[in-house]
Amino acid sequence: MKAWHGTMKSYLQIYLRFIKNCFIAQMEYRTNFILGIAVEIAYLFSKLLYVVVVYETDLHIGDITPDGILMFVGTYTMMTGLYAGLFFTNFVRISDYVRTGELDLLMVKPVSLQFIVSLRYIDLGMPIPNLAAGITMVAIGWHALGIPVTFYHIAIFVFYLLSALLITYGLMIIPSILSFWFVNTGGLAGIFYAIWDANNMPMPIYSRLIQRIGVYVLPFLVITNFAPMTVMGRLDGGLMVWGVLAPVLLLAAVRQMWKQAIKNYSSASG
Amino acid sequence: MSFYMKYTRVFKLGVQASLEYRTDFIFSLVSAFFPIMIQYYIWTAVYGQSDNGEFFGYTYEEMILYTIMAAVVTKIVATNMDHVIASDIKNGSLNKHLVQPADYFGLKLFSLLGQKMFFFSVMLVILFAVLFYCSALYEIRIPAANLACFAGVLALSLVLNFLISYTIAAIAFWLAEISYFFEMTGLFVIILSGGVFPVEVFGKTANAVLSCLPFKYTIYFPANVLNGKLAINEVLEGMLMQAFWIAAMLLVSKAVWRIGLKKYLGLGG
Amino acid sequence: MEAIRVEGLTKDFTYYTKEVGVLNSLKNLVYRKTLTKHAVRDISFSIGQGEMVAFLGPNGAGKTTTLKMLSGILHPTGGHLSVLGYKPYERKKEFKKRFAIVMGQKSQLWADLPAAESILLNRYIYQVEEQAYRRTLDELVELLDVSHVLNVQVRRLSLGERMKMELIAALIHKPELLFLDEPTIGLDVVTQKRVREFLAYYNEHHRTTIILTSHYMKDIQDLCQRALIINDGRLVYDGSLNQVNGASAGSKIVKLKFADYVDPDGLGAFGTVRQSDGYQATLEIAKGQINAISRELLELFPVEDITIEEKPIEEVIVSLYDRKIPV
Repeated sequence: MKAWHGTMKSYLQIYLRFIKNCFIAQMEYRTNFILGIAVEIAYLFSKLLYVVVVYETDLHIGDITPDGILMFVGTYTMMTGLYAGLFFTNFVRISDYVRTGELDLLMVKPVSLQFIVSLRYIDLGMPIPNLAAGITMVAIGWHALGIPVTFYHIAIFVFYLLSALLITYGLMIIPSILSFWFVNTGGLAGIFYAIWDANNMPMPIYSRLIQRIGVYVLPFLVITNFAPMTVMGRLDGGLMVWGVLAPVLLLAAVRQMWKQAIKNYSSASG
Repeated sequence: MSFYMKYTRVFKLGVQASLEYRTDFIFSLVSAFFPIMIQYYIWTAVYGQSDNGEFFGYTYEEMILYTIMAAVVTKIVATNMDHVIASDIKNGSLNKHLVQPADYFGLKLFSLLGQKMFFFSVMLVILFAVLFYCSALYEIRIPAANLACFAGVLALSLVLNFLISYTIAAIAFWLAEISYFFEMTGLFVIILSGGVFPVEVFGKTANAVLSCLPFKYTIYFPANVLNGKLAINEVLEGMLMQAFWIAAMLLVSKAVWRIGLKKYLGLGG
Repeated sequence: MEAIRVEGLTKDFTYYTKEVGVLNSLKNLVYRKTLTKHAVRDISFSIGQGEMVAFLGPNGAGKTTTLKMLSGILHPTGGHLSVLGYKPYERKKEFKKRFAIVMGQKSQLWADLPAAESILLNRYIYQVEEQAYRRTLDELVELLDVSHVLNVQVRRLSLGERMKMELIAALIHKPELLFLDEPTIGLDVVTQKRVREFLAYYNEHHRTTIILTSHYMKDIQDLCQRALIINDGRLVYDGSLNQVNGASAGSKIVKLKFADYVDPDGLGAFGTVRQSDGYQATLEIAKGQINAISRELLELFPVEDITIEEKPIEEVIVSLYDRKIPV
């Protein structure tokens, strides 16, 4: 227990260094930093068009009102920001590490290789617009729906956001891990980004089959649906448990896949 | 090398390059399917809940067809040319082209056309297959004249979009660093062109403004030619507008480039 | 004390042939012809603690592959290996904390940051105590004379300064074992010398076992007592560098460029003519006579340019084969 605590602490220290490093590096290139934010605003703008459509057409999905939909879109926007800030840069680089052999130097470090490779870079600029807009949308929806602002509601919402963050990590890293076997997985990554965008709308809008697949097979839909659904009281007990189990199972599977990938790398590469 | 030879050579190189990237192309086709699916469900929900048969001036069938057509047309028309050209400006490759007798504009245009040739043909086949299926499903009759005009409309769109990219790329003359800048402009151009939603969604004022700009003639207009919303005289009128905007953008791009080059060469390149 | 023990170490890579074309791609889906490359074949040696050993050999001989197996990056296909008492391919954390690797062509420093930041990050990764870290850093910075560039963005450093920073980053946790893969590649002569002197000093004062690969003979002459020569995946020589030098001691290569036509026959008297076309000539001349003969050449012929080189490593290896030195 104590050893475990010590490991956690040293990993946290290293992660803090990562953040500091990234901050210094990004301040060296302020134009890029600002442009990165601007690009995200452009993407955000294209996503907000959906909100416009929702309110203009007074869209109700089942008995979810436009305000309810706004909460889902807000959660999706927040998660997009977190993904862009915490994971995206790292996942894009993985295939480069493999191709250039830069992975060699990371493999000899006495910390988890998966940790270094997948969490080394944090973008501090890109997530700002998405987080700000996302939180605003969630707040507006939350208020309009009259959901009580209690510790329990906020805690449970944050809890399912964390679960969503783990699922995001587990799903979006898959194309990158596949790059250990296949040279070009950019196309597959493109498909994953496209599927990611399916979260732009609450999942009851999709057919039952799509929902099943999106919740139980490739749990994309869990990412942005479960947090708002819990506070709206729409998540039944079974799904609440699944929201806890899904990230655990997914991360375990991804871990196995990663080990296979490294095994493949150290026995096949030249 | 004659004028003609030079450009056919660039054109062929473009065709070859595109064939090398066909796996990417297939993947990008598959990923184009998802936004269509999402919008299909949104519109189905929108039209399904209401007795109102029309939203933003579109019937359900027209809207679904618009969504599909716009996605496909975006794939055909959208290029990363602004980014490529801007990089040429910033990393100094433009110098190389400036000393060559061939016109940089012509080189880029023909290499783009060459690159698009393969995709253009594949997408046309896909487009007509989808159209055939959907029009049977929704019982929309697309006038034969519209179909006949479509290839022409699409070609004009491609050229017009290239001119827009070429003009926007000139911003690189004034930027210290480009990095993501053109990813942003590219996205905005697609939105304004109607690549995400039909431009009516933006509201009346925005629409009035967009009517005075060339963007909607690159995606919005061709998509509407094929969903049966436009009558043949409107199609022809639109093609005239496309031709007008091509001429206008040609002038604008030449002017912008002249100023930009002056600054570029003034700095010693 | 033994730092490394290797017995019958083997590494094979399998790869597939790939022909171009759609049809061949389809064919590849069904059937792929597997080819095997034997990168390292049945190598055995042992290295004592505190030794400084060179892996010599031409490009692609298997030096780097061996190094990668010793550091746990690659899995061996066969054989036994023990490094600091560990099996490197198990990649235990305790093992990783006890060695370091520097690769001349790859960097562990982040180019956008000052080297000081990357070195500090290593402090946390290797869990070095604050005081020990300070002491080591000060010592290394002083030895390599880089205190003035420690806080400069790595991108702006010269190649030599960058390599020195790589060394500091690698040594900050005081490894018992240091692997260096082509550490002087691309460096200018003065910096090469500086790096070599540093390594010699460090090896002597900290008793750190150092293994370095190179395909320059010169790189190693001043540094290592012992060399392992690897060629085509095989260990062809293990022993004192003096003997390797002996093998190449006989002669040097003199390259001449003439301003006018020079009859090749006239050159034969000065040494073995390897190649000559009248305007350029390559001679092999006995070491003892180099000075006298080159002076004569310069006097007698319209020499535009003259260079004197060591025999390339490949030739030294061939002569080692010929001498049948037992491994």
